[in-house]
Amino acid sequence: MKNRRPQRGSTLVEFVLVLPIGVALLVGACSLGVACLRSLEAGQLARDVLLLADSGLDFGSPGGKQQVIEHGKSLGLSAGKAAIHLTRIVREPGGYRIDQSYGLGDTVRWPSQLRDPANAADLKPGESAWIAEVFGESGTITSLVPDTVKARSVL
Amino acid sequence: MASRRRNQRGLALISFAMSLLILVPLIGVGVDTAMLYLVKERLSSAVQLSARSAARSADPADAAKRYFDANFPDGFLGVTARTVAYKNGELSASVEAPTYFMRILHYPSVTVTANVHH
Repeated sequence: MKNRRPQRGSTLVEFVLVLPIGVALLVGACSLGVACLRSLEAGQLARDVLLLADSGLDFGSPGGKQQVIEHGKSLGLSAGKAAIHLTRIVREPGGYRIDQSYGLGDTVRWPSQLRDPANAADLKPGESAWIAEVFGESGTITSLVPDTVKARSVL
Repeated sequence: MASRRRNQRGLALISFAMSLLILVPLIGVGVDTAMLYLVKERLSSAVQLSARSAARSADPADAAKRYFDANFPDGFLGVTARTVAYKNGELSASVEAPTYFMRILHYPSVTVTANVHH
C-alpha cells in the first residue's frame, strides 16, 4: 500500500513525457496530409480551368466566372481561402504581351507571381498560351508546412 | 510485490519508445506515398496539358517539349532525371521523385511515369 502513491506519480510523469511526442507526431502527420490534399486540389483546379479556357469559355462573363468558382469550391475560392489568376500571353515579333488577365478569389492576399511572361512559357512567334496560377490555404497548423499551396499550369 | 511495482516504473516510456520504432517508419512511408502521389498527379496534369498543346501545333514534338517544360519545370517538387518523349501522338514522361523516409530503407527515389495518347 505504501508503494501505490509513488507509482501513480511515475505513471503520470511518463504520460506527460510521452504525450508531447505523440501529439507532435499526430499533428505533423495530419498537417502534411491536409496540405498534400490542398495542393492536389490546387493543381486540379489549375488544370480544369485551363481546359475550360481551351474550350472557349469567356472568363470575363458572369457565367464564366461562376464556372471557375464552381470548380474552386473545394479549395474555398468563393470563401476567400484561395485565389486564381488567369492570364493569356501572346508572343508577337516584338516580344511577349499579356493579352487578357482575370483574377478571382482573394487576389489581394495572393497577387499574381507572373512577373515576366517570357519566363512562364517558351512560345514561338504568333503563339499564345493561357496560364493559370492557383493559390490557397494549406490548412496547416504547424510551421513545418508552408501555409500556402501553389499551382501553375500552362496550356 | 513492492519490487515488481518498482520494476514497472518506466515501462510506459520503454513501450512507447518501442512503438515509435514501428510508428515512425509507418508515418514516414505514409508521408512519402503522399508526396509521390502529388508528383504523379502534377506529372499527369503536365502531360495532359502538353499533349493538348502539341496536338494543335505544326511541330507537335517541339510543342510537347516546350509546354511540358512550362508545366513541369526541371527540379519541380525536387524531382531529377526528367525525361519527356513524343512519338506517334503519344506523350510520355518520367521523373525520379525523391523520398524522405523510404531512403532509410534504401529507396532514395522512385520512378514516376505518366503518358497520354492524343
